[in-house]
Amino acid sequence: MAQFKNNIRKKIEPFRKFKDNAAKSIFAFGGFFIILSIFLIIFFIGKEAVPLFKSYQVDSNKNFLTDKEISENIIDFYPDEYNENLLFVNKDGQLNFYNLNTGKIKYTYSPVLLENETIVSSNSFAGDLDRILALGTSSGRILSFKLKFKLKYTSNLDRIVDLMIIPSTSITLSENAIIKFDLIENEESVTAVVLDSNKEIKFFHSEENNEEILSESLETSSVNKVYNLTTNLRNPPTDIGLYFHKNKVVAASEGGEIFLWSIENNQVVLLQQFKLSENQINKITMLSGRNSMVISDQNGSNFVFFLINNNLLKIRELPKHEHPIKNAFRGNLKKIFTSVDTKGNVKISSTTSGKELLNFKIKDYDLINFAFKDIGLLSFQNNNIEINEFDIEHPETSLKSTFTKVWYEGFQQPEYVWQSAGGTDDFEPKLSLIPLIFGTLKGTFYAVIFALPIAILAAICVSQFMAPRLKNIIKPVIEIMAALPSVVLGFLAGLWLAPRLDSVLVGVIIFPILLILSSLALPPIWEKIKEKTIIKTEGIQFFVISIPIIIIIFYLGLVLGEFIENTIFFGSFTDWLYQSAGVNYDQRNALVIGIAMGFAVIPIIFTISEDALSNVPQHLVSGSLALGASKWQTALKVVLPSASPGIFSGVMIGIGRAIGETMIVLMATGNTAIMDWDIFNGFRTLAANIAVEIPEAPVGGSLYRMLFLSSIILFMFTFIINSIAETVRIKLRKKYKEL
Amino acid sequence: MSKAINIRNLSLYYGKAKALKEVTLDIEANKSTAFIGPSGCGKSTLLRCLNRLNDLIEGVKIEGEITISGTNIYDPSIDLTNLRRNVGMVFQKSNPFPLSIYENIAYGLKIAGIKDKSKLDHVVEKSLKGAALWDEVKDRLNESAYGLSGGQQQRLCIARAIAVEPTILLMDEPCSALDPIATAKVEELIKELKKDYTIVIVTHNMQQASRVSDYTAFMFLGELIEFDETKTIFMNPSIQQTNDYISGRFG
Amino acid sequence: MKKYFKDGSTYVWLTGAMASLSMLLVAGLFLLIFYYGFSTFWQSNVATVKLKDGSYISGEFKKEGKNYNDEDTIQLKIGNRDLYGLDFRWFTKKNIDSVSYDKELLLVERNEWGVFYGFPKELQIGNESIIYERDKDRFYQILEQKLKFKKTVVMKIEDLEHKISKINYNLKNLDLERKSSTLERKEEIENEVLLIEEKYQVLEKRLFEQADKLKNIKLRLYTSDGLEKTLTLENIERYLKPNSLSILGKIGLYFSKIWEFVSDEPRESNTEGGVFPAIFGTVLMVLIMSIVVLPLGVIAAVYLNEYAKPGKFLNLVRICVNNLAGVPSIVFGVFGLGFFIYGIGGTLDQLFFSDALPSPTFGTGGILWASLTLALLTVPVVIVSTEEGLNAVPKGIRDGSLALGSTKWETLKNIIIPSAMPGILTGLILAIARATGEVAPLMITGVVKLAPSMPIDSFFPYLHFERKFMHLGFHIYDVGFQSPNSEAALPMVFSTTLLLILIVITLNLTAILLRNRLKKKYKGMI
Repeated sequence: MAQFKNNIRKKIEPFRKFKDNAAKSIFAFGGFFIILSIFLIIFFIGKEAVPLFKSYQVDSNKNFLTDKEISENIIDFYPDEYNENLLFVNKDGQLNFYNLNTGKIKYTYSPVLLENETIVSSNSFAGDLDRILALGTSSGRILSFKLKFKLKYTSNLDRIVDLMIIPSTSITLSENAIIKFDLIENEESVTAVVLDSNKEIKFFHSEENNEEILSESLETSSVNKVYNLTTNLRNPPTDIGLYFHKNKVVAASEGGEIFLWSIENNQVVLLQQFKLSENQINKITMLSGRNSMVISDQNGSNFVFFLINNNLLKIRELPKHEHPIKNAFRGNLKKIFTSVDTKGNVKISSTTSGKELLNFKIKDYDLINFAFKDIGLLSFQNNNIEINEFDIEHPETSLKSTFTKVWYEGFQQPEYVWQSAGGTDDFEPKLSLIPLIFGTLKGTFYAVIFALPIAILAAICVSQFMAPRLKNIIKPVIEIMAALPSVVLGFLAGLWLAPRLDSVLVGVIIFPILLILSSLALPPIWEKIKEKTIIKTEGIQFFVISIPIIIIIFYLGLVLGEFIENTIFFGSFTDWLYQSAGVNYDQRNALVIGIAMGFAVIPIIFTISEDALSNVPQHLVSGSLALGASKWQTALKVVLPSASPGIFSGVMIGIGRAIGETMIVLMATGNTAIMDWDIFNGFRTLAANIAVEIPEAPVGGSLYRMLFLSSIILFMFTFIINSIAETVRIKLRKKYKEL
Repeated sequence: MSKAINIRNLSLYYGKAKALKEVTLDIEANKSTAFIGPSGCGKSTLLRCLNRLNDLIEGVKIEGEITISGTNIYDPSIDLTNLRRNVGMVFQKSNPFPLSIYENIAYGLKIAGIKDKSKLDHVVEKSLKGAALWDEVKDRLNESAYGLSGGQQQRLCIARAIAVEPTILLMDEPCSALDPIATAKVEELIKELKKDYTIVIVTHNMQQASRVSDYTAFMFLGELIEFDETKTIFMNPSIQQTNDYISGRFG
Repeated sequence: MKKYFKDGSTYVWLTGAMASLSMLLVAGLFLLIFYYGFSTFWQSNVATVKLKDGSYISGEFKKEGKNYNDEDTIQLKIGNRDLYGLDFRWFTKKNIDSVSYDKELLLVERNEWGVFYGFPKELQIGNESIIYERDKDRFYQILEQKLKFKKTVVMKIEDLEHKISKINYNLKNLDLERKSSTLERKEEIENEVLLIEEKYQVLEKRLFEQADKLKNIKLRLYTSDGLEKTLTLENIERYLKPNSLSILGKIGLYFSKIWEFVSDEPRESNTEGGVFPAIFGTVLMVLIMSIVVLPLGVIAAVYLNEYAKPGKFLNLVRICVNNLAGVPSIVFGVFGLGFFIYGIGGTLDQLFFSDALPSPTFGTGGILWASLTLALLTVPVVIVSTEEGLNAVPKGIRDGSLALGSTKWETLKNIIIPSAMPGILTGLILAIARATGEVAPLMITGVVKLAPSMPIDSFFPYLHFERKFMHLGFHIYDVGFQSPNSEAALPMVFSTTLLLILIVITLNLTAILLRNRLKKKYKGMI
């Protein structure tokens, strides 16, 4: 029996075995993990975008009991921004700053009241710097105060909120008690409208806000007149509101009527009067910015009204209640609206989209208010305070508001708008992705229009009619073209091409036409030249000869363009365009983008198409040529059809590139989010929008998440397009192999 | 009995397809045995069972038993690296590593942990001489193996295989990619190597089988049809199918 | 005509035209960049223009155009922004009386307000004064001498500044230590701080002394229209007499300007000086990225090609990896911002840098996060290319190695990975080329227009991963589009573009060559 030279039973050295196993686990785990984590990117981005559309719920429900005495005479209360302290407004005018946790009053302020005067109503709103508290008294005065909250930390890092109250203004508007009032107060002026116990509506406006009006009484007031608006009301008014113009007052009545007055040049004009329904209107809520209002009625309905061209217009309905609405108010910081019905059902909705964000039930209550930063609802009865905490992070966004038309404040009709930030806190964010998606498609469209004919025709030429020697030069050159950083293309397009383009615009438009015309005229001429000369005119020459010809044609185009511009368009095409067609010529426009992005797309389409075209099995080509077809006929009838999936996938990948391109668009358009297909206008794409806005978007805010959503959309767009392209390409490769 | 390899009821499946059907065969030590048969008959698969190179292919299942010197090589305790050191292999296409000629030969030894330079030098020279390549390459041992001609590359692969001193040498159509002169040289070498190694060779070239082998196995559709001394198989096969194949009626 | 339609020569011509058009587009683009990029450094003569109204103005002719009345106009770079308010002015040609090139005209490059064109008048050193007209040679001799002196002073100042920044660094560390130490130690620290601050005072005094030395030397000049301007030595970067330079001198100047461009810091909100910090930032970012992306890409590719179970699922994964290379870069940027900066960076800040909060350390853009983002962006490129390399290794070689008794790892390490090296390198180079030209994701993960300090310096830990950095591509965007004086900045942008393009193209050509080598490598195998 033959013996082994080495013992076959011998084991591998443990260290070798270990190394092999270690390598296996490192590569298997590592590789799997790396690939997995690359794909987790999409989940992370998605995770950041999801809260935009989530539904909200009440996070916690707490109850506090206060001392009976403290809560006895309370007519209203206001929480601080941490929901730790409440400012109680007492009937007798005392303002108590009360700590919920300790149950103690930390600070008391007593305003100077007249004899027998009591506080009947109160309101609080944001002033220029501080919050303002305003009180309506039984003797027809409105007193306002600045609330200065101060934040301190103890040595144990416990938070202490201190309050200081500074009296601001006092106006006398009526002889009767003020049941309801609305007030605009800032450094420059004071405007107020009141509803008194006599069911009369009074309006007051002063262009100064200083000590003097504090002391002025109703009788002595000469400059600051008080207007009575209650002259033509059939039904008693129920609520009032003041528009931001400071001279427009709205009121509602028990009979379901709505009135709109304007006070101009010491004249009261009734602008509008209409009946909404038979139901009594319970509440007018002016939304932040006082641009629009919500009307809530006995039937449980809430309607948003805009003031458009001095006309109140019903825009949308907010979630309806089963029971009459008892109370309604808006968010302090957020674009939300809360209504509570008589049975204690609370509905919180977005004023932008009308979407119901949250609904829950509270116990019976006397007083109710939002927590300062809209992170909860506090309701009060006897000596019990119920706090429902919630956090509505993104009230302004919903799938509907992102992808359909929305009627925004101050707009004439519903529109798609992207406008993420405005000058003031009252600004209503307009986060519709449609204009951006539109811009993306527009840019892609023009880029592909420019690139497609050049790339595909060039690919046909290179793969079918060109000598291999030239091919070996041209292909790498175009590959290098693909490597051009987009910032370079963007810079050249924005700073070199765009300023020069408008003066040669006509020539540039004529050039392709001339080029096509020349292809009709040149072959016969070329034929003649070939007959008469002895130059060999196969393959190479015809390509080489076309280079100077194109330069000549381009030059001709420019000359002709200038001529046409001078004769037909009176010297300036862009001026003519504006005057006769109303088309505004943007210097950085879609044409510039088309050319610049075309540069980026040409090499992609070219390379993939050329690949597909030259890989068409040779026997098909020779078969066709052998049947007597010309080279062109073969290319058109045999090569092109069988390579068309490859060309298709090249175009798709080119589109994918154009969709995601950022720098070119950022640098060579004006980045205006407008929606029209005009080639001489700019646009804003999803990608450029991200680059522009994300550095300024607060982390976790709606804009921030919206940009993450844009990223997801971009990712999806390109991923799907590329997948289609790749699948088509793999199938084509298989087909070629089989042939 | 000096049988080096005993194959018992060996069946091999690629997924569901049965590529080898209950092959039973004894291969004698220090002789050369040829597997012949039309393409796809399973001869290469059978050969690759002998050093368990089929294990690499996804979905392969093996039943039956192969014992080499009384050891079942499909025993779980058998270590593949050691098995393959004992059962060398030369492939259809020459496959030198992208290394120098010297490094190609020394590769197997270095892997096995031999680092002694003088020993390596010795083995390289001995193996190259054994593969009748020494005179042709001794001056350019440090040049890339890809500079060699096809025949030289194949002999380099043989030298590489014998450098680790295997007991058995498997050859998978070693000459199919070579020209007649190179083929003759390799065949010469195989006859030479028989003295020291048990050689199993797969070939589709019947003349080659008759020239270099002592025993011949004829396979068809995964079955072993006939196995006997080469003389007998070629002169006087006992099965009609063998005769048909040998006389060129199919294949 | 019909015949040509039929046999298609019309269309063939059209395809040829498009092929040559795309060539022309590429060629035109490169010519444009090369022309503007290289011409930036060429010093042309400075003309003194006499206008019809009798006034004079000096400047360099830039380009010609037409005004609204269709008259020929010419643009002059008039410099002297501090006096005229703008760098460029258009003149109608018919208003120009005559043009002369005065040999004595002086061009002064300053560290503020751009260049100055004018004539020398006087050099004041303390109380001493050298009038140019009286002794021209001595005037230039002394000026030259003083500029040399300036160089030594500047070096001293830099040295002092370095010492001061070291002190600041120590102070900062002590301050942090004080927050978390015992009372005794606190006192020690206080004393140390006092000592250091004393040192600081001394150094600062010396710094001011040095700076004063430069302020005392004044160069008085006047422009061709007679406005006077006094420059102190600290403002003067260099002076030259462009109209009296010989061709050789101009060539020398040309190269020295190129050198200045690649080795100097930017001046005047990036519109003048060099781009060294941007080059440095780009290179360092790419280096960090490469260190990350190479192992990631190679491990993933080896896993896909060698260890993963082949099948439909693997093909799907492969298509996805391929597609990832086509995902817009800004998406990766968004991920980098959300995940690295706010996610990981924010957590790191809370764990280790809570002393510095609320100002973020790692929770804001920085070179590490930018590099990691780009690593993610380019990892598909490396994976695809490495797989290509691994695939190109013939199966026979693997079998050969295994048949010799080597383990899978030994085969990989000794045979397959070395063979696939060109593929791996190709991938890495393509990744580097992509990273060098990429701007969008960097804009939101840590690139800035002007980094106050380099990411590498002489203070522990020397490499500051959290620092912001400058980048060539972003430099182009920033200077071209964000700079207040974009016309004056244009030459700088073109030079930066040229530099960037040269780098990117060199990298790409290297990758192409390597790929060809990979293809050739196995040609010897039969």
